[in-house]
Amino acid sequence: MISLKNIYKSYGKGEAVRNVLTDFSLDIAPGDFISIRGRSGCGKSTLLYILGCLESYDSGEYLYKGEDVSKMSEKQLARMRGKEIGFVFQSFFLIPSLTCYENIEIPMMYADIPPKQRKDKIITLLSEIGMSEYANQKAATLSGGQQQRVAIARALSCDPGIILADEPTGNLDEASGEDVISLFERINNDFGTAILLVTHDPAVASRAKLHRTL
Amino acid sequence: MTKAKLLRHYIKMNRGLYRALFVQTMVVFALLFVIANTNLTVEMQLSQAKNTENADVYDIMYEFSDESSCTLAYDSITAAIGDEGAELIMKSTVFINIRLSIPEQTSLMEKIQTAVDSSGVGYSIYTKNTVKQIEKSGSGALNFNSILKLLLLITMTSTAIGLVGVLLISLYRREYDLSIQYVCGASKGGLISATLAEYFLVTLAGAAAGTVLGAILSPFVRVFAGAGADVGVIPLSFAPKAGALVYGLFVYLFIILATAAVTLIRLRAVDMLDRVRYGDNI
Repeated sequence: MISLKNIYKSYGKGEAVRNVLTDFSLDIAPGDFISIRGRSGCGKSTLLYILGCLESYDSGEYLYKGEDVSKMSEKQLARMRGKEIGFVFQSFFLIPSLTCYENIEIPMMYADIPPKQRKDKIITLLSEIGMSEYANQKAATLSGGQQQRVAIARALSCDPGIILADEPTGNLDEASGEDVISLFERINNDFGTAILLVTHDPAVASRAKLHRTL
Repeated sequence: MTKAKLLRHYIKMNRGLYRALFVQTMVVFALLFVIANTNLTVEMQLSQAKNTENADVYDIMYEFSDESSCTLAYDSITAAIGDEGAELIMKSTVFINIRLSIPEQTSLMEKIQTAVDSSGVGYSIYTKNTVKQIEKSGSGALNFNSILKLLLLITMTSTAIGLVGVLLISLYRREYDLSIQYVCGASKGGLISATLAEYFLVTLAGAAAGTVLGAILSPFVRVFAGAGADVGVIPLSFAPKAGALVYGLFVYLFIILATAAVTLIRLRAVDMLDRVRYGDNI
């Protein structure tokens, strides 16, 4: 599904140049659950942003379902971010002034999914994450664990091929973190969605099926 | 949620800023409309007076209460002056303009006066002296208009500064939300156009409200400026309201273009990825 070949990425210029990814390659197949570990600043998040079409790379090849991502237009990349990839961030990244329902609906809105279909899907997702009674509650009023569950539901809303999770348990207490990781496992097993998980936590990383260290 | 609902949501979220934007646009447009409605009238009168004074022709203007009176008087005057050198123009359904050569004005004037009197209709005459009086009263109105113009200049300048401020604050507040939408599948172009649509709607509403307010205030301002009754009854070659609207439209387009430019520059400069990296802590 995803093939990264010999990816190079650096920041800065001249003497201040810092190589973050050097000759990095990775293949992700449907249904994979991969953890990426590494010290701070080693390029874990950069890798995630490159995979999520949020960041460009200096050289190498990135193919998504056989298509060269570097040749995609801004519109195609936006569509890919919305439909093919789901993001889950450490700081949840929900719009605080919108309700849970509305936050989950955003990617579906940009993917032009019809309203009726959206409604059915959101109700199912809220039920899956055990948040049905919070549908009309503003995201800002939820606990960290609840916000992260809504963020996961949002990531799943367009049935993406892969979920990219950047330290998803980093801001959560142990119990909430466990809930979130269990939810990822369930999504991976039940829906066959590939998951790429970036984490510092060895316990969290050990829950993945495949492991990479940067 | 639809894109329209999201747009309403952000207008509601930024209601404090947008209220200021709405009021500023409204005040500018109300002032514009008032000035255009009073100033254009007075300036046209003065230009007419000046032309009359320096020309070798002499304009006499008759105004009648209705169409049939005007037609009747027109026929009577046409019959009375024949081909004696006066140019008779029926300018509108209630207004006649007679242009006379100065040397023959006295005898011709008498004939015209008799013809109009014999038609038995009510009318008003504006002669050279009347026009001079208008010029005198108009100078007061002009001073008033100068004050209005100064007010407009101050308002427009402060509005322009305020507008840029409102946009930047609104955009800054929005950048976090915009970056979330970007991650969720929105393109940068789509986000820019959605943001512009908000400003467009708010300023359009302000401009419409200002135009209505200006239209309501204009008659009062004209009377207050001393450019009321005398000036108001003299028909103009074009409707001042239409002029005001055209002028307003240009100003509105200018505001929208300036707004679009500021938004585009700022949004193009926003690094969505930084927002993703650092969230709301930039």
